[in-house]
Amino acid sequence: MTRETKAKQGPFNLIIAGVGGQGTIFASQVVARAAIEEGFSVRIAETYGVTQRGGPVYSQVRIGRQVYGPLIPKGCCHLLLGLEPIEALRRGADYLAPRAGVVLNTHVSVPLETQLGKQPDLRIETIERQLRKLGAGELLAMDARAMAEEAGGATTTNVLLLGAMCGFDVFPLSYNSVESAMRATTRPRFLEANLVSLDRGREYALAVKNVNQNN
Amino acid sequence: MRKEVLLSDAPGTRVLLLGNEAIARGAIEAGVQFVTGYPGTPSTEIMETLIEAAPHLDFVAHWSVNEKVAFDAATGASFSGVRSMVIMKHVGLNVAADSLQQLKLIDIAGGFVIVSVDDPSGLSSNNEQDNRWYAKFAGLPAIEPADLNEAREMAKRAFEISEELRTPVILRSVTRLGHMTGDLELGEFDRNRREPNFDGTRQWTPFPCLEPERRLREKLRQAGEVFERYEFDVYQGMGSEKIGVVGAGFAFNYAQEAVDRLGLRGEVALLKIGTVNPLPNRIIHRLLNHVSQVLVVEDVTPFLEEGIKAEAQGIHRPIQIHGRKSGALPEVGETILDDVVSALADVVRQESPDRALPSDVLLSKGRAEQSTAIQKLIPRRQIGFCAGCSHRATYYALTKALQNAGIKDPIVVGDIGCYTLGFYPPFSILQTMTSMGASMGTSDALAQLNPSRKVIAVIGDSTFYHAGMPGLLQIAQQQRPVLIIAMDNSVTASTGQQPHPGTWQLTDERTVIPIEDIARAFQIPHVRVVRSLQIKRLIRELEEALVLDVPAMIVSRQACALEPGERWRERTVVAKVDAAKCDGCLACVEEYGCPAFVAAEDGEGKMAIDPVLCNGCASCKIVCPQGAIYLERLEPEE
Ligand SMILES: Cc1ncc(C[n+]2csc(CCOP(=O)(O)OP(=O)(O)O)c2C)c(N)n1
Repeated sequence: MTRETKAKQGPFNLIIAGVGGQGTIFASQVVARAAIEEGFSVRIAETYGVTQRGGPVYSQVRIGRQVYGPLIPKGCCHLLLGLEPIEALRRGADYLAPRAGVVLNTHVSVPLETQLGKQPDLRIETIERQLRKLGAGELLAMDARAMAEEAGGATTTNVLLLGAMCGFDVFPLSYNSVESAMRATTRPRFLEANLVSLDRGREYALAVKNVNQNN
Repeated sequence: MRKEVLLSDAPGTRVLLLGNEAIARGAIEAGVQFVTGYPGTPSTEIMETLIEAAPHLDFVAHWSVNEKVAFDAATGASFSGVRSMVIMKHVGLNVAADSLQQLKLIDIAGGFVIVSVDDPSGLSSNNEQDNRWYAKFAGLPAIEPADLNEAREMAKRAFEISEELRTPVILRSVTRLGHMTGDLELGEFDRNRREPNFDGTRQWTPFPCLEPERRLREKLRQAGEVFERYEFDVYQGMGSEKIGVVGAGFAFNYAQEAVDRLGLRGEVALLKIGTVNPLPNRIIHRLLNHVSQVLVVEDVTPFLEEGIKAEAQGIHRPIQIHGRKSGALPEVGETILDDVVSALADVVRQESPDRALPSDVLLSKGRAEQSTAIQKLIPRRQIGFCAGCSHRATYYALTKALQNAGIKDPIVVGDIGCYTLGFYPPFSILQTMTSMGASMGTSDALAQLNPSRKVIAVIGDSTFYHAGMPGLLQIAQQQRPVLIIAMDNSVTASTGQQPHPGTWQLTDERTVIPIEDIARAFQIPHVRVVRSLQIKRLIRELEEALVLDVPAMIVSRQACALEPGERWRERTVVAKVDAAKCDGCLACVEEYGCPAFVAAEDGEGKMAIDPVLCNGCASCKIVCPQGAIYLERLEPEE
């Protein structure tokens, strides 16, 4: 199926989930810009308000020839970008479509009440298992924060994951348009670092895919 | 980047904007010359965008002290003959309501547009409030956009309509539209710039009111005709469908998508309603003339459903109206597509039981149960103060000061802002909160009626200027022994660091009017200013003030950690945990709860501090009983 036909069947639905301060909204803005560069219409719903305070944040991104509202129906998310794994499962549980793609940062941001033993301690292994049980198709789990530290720096973790997402078949936009959207969206000071991490993410996703195909 | 888009004089260009920016762009296209407002999620970005654009287009844009002041200022601009706009969140209109109810009776000069952004589900508010009722209550024309392009277009046309009818026009939006990013087309600029000129020969007053009241009703009747020219309401049908689906403003998106998901395009009639007041009865009748069932999709209250129901009574044929009131859709909360899909499916089954509907459009029962089971495994993520936030330090100091002073049953009255998080762990110290500024009046009465208990009122800086000052005056005048803690972080932080009259951080030349000067002028006998992160001193000052039996104010002052200037990028130290000293007692988490505190990787239950999240504020050193937290100097970055 070509990219063209995919987007015609109704919007492509992407959820980006993280916690405040991780750059969830920035990531969604880059995708949006790439989408209009490719001639699509796009709608993003962003949760605001408490985003700077470590609270859950998620963006719903819909791309298509015609998109009405920004809210994705339950069970209709085609691709889940988990900047933080607990938040990825929180959204995935309700929204994941059968055989959806998942890109997952394995670096858990442990909630305060979990540290105090007042809330469940959800481990990364459980999160991955549950996402698979929900019917996730392609699932790429990676310690994106560690990888980002070695690429453009820890603050580019979101960008690195975005790069990895570009390596997914279900993602309807090309890496080139994401890269050019990144150039248009990033402040000059941070551009260099972002481009390094974006590329590192894509390389990693492609490398993993090659290994899987050869096995 | 966005600024270029907003200023671009290239009509027809397709661009990417936030809903709130689209409204700002509409005002710019209309040639607005005066805008003001008071911050409030979800409306804030409209004003922020206009403030950014103002110097380039030579119009006035600035924040006001509160919504009433903003409304009255925009009134002065309209009286001067220029197009003016006032912007606020839904509850802001409560603060400006008295002005609204007077201005409606005056023939305005320059176009006057009131932007009210409602917050269904109270996503960033304490209540759900449907301001369409304000339009009806005041008898003013009102419109609401369904998408980004219409947001821009309506914001622009509202000025023309306001000038034609010589009355204020309300533009109602909702969070989902305001905070939605998407593509739209730019429109043309209106180049009718006016020189401000106040006409002193007219009387700008509603008094005596009966004649203006009569004229207002006449204007509203006219508004119905004017709105028809703009085609804000759109009927899509053949005139024979048995089912009609109606969507009000942004909720029309859910109506359309539900129809598509159920494969009903062409089988049901669709009606998009963009005019709130007066309701477009002609087009509503066009639908009612042929349907026997109507599903009304709208946010917050059954405003439109009731209006359509009233119209349906004029048709001598049974028509069932479904919506929030009938119980077809939930009575409270933001409209959710899945609810609309199932409500519409029910209507279809009722109308034609044999019509097959796709069965896979909603989550299967099994899958829904699976989701619920998984949600139970997922820890809640309580929101807390940012790393480096001064409010955390203040609450910590207050907790300690109360312990030291042996006060066991204080009454701690809260107010609205980031500091409202004092309701939650780890402090859980606040006990009441209602509307902005209410901590003053409420603590006054609590102290009067509970004389044996110490009453403490906590109020943010922006909140103090907004509506706290009159209440403080009353406390002062009554000499009520309330301890007021002014949480002064220089900005209106919870809405995104907007300035207010006490903001000292900004580089422009405005006068700064500090809270303590006001308190002293109000003759509060004990006023002290302390830096929030100097916790030891803050504890001492609080202890001293807690035992006074006169009104007292402690101004706890430290710039917001997210203040423009991004302090954390310029930090000179980071906090670290000495693993040899940490015994895993978790006092740091239980008593201070900074998001930079994380479990150490050794898995032995010791703590560590995330070097990326640490803001370098250095305040946490004091909280560790083992003295395990130390500061490490950072090499200055080149
Ligand atoms: C009438 C009204 N207008 C606006 C708001 C939105 N709002 C909530 S809190 C707040 C002010 C917060 O500023 P401040 O008091 O300085 O406290 P901070 O967030 O900086 O801690 C505003 C404007 C509101 N809740 N009610």
